[in-house]
Amino acid sequence: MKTMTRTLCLVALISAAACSEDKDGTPAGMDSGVTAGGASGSTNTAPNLYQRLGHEAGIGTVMDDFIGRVLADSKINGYFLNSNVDGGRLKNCLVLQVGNLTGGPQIYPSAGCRDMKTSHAGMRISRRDFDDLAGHLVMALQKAGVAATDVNAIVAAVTPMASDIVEDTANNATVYQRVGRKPAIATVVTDFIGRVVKDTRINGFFTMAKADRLHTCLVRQVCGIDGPCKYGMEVDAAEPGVSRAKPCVDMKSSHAGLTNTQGMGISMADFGALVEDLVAALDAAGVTAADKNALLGVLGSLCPDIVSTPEKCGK
Amino acid sequence: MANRNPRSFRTWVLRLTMAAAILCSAGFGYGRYRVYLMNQDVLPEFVEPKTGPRTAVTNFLGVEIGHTSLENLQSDVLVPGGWDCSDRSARAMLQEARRNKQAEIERVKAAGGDVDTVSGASLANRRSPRERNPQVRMSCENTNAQSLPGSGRVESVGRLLYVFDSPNHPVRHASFERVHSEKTTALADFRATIDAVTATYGPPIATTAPVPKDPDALPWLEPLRVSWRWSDLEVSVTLLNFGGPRGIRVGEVAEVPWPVRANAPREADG
Repeated sequence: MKTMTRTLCLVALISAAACSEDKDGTPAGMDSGVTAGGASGSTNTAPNLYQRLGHEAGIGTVMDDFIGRVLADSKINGYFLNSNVDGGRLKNCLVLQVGNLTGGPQIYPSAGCRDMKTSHAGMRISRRDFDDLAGHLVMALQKAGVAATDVNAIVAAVTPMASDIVEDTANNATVYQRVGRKPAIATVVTDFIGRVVKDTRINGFFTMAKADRLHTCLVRQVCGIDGPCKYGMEVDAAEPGVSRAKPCVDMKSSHAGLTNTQGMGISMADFGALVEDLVAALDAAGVTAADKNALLGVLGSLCPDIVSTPEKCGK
Repeated sequence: MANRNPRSFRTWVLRLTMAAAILCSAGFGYGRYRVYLMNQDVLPEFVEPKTGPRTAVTNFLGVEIGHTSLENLQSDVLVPGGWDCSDRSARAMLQEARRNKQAEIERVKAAGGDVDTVSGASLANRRSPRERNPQVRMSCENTNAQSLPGSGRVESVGRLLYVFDSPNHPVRHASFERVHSEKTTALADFRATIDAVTATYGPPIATTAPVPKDPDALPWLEPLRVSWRWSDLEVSVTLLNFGGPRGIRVGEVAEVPWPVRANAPREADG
């Protein structure tokens, strides 16, 4: 409900800003004469939007808050909580971009920052991912005391970028999106772990497992099937039980000693019990049969690393 | 150059030696304590059954759930049944893996080879926290359904499993699970198993969906579950159609619900 309200507010905000453009196409609230690219042809002595934001330092403060909000939002932080994402570079690029958009001297793209289309290509970002991200930008700007008209102006400048960033306009191109992104995956995983813990057929294998780490790694594994998470590329102080030094490990390593080649390890029946629990959790979450099948297909590909009779996997 | 007080110097040396000795002792003690901890069994915290009707019947797959001991299972059920069963608990598997790895290392050593070439050699001397669970899982792979106690089952081969919380606890769980490649056979097996359990435990109390009459109507990736439930025993018959080569999985389970103490049904009998 809160999310829906936020999205509606943002949409209303964006619509209001987008619909109230000046005759020359400049969004309302943005100083006339300030165009993308930063060159100001205005002879006004009044400070432009870039100056009102506090120049580069002010924008940097807003971006710090913005990035913090994004990283704390499990709906979209899967794109960022991977060790191959350079947080410092991300912030620098954002500062350059916002500076450029608001009439500052910054040039964008530059300094290794790529254009929006190139940098987001293939990430299968959905419309709602974009809206959630924009919502955080609005909140960060508001928290910094930026005037409503200036916030609207920035939102109006950012909104057209959606066409370069969003690849999944209907929010349904991937299992990740259809299931409901990381929060829904986390709910399914919580249910799944609860079922496994009560499942006497297999719960002995999970004794002494670190619950928070198990949960995080399972979420990241499912999220990484066709979503943004990169399994094994965890970062520090972001998700419970994992860090850059202690990332989620591959199935072979995590089942070491339980998959010996004498046929005495985890059996296909054990693996089947685990799959049954997963199907039950997905079923309870209302996941469609086609999506369940897609998820099981990925789980099935891990089977040879888990069971003692890998030749029987998939049969 | 400042004069060094020999007495003060000796005192400092003594102090440092004592500190080093204390640190070494503490480190050694901590190490021993960790080894001691790793060798201690860790049982889950079991609870009393919730209020509600208790079961009067506990017979399932040749054992009495909550009653039969591991010793009696082996002597009265597994040996006469002639099944190929072994303990497939995490503890048993890891111990076996360790023995195998140690044997491999010995073979390499005997042949004059380099132990460093043995992959995963660290497994030979490392205990896993998983081994602290004393659970016993007597698993009988490739069991013929026709050979099971009280069987009027459709022909199939599956996994028979008995689980004990430890060698000293009565059996908590018994199940038989098999995979069919044909829907017709799977549905017939499912129905026959429901009938067999109903004959012992009475009518089921819950079903997730009506059992279809037409095998082609078996839902895809939607679990079918027929249940009987008491506060100290749960029995269920399940079917899950994975579709295609993954087949259709049929299972029958009777168990003391987790984490109710495993001897709850016996206590109920008085």
